[in-house]
Amino acid sequence: MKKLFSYFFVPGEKNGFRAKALQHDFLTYYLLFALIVVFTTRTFGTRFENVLGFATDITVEKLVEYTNSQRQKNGLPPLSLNEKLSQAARKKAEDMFVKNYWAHYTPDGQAPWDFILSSDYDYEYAGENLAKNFLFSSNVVDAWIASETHRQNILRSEYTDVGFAVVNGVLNGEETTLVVQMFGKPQNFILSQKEPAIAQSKKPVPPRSQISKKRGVVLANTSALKTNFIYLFLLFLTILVVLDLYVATKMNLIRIHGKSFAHFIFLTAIFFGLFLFLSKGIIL
Amino acid sequence: MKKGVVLDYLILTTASIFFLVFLRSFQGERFASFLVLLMFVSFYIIWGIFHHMKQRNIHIKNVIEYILIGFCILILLTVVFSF
Repeated sequence: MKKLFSYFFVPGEKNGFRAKALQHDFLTYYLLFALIVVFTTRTFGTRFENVLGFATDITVEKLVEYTNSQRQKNGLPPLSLNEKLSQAARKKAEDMFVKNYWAHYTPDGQAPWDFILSSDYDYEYAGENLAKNFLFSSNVVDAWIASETHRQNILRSEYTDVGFAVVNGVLNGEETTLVVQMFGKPQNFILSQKEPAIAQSKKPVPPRSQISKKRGVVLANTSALKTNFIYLFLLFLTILVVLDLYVATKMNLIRIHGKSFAHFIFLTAIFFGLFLFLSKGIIL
Repeated sequence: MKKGVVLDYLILTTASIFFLVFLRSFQGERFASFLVLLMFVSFYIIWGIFHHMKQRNIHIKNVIEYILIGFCILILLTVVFSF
């Protein structure tokens, strides 16, 4: 067992002073494996879209939990998850996919509160936050909290209800997960209709004039499962390279191979790059 | 370590830092992020070839190794950098 481990992972006489797992044949297997992963992801992503759609790590429950946690931190009462507001949020998300835009107002001029009213939620106060390209629920809420206008929406004392929609689809030719958060306070005795609050991004993305008919729920590629797998693979390669570098330096080996130190720098940059890429999406 | 080798690694490290900086500035923009990744992987392969040429130990085995590692990472990351 120990010999087998050494043969595959530690440079030595038997493997030509290069860990077998870092030799060309194995590197080719990794490449083929990567191609299979990409191919199956794309195939399964479209065939079993509704099943795999759950693989994304953004859930309504967690979004409610993190939103209310932020409110409680600021001494505000928690918001109740309202089915009508969630329905309005779903309608808005689906509308964005169908009409291919990313904005608070639809290309034909519909406002967020039009979706709220069409879901039979007669509001006194209403608001909307949007997010896309995020992987985790906590990152979505953290990004909103970091933006002053979105934060004001989350921490507005007038709101009593919240609704969420997490919908996967293709927007502007990019597979993405849209998160729509809608706030509200139902109309009771006060008849005057207040102006709804919409969080404005510092860099608003203009709506696309071209309307695409492409729609539907597909697998968000940034699922936690796949990301964890890629992180593990990167870690595996990095450990192999570090081990190779350590043994080669210790034994003062001169070999015709790529430089392990260069591979280490490259893999470390990719590791941090992946972390950066996944840690933030876009809010509006 | 020779002066030339140190300089080569310094260039690779600088490119890695630039890769992270550009990735951060394009956060949320998947296509732009993928282009940044593609450029970094290409740079890494070219760097490997030039480095071994300078060291006078260029061999097809070296070139293939950089290409295999670079492409493997690039293909795997297209799963998350989908656009």
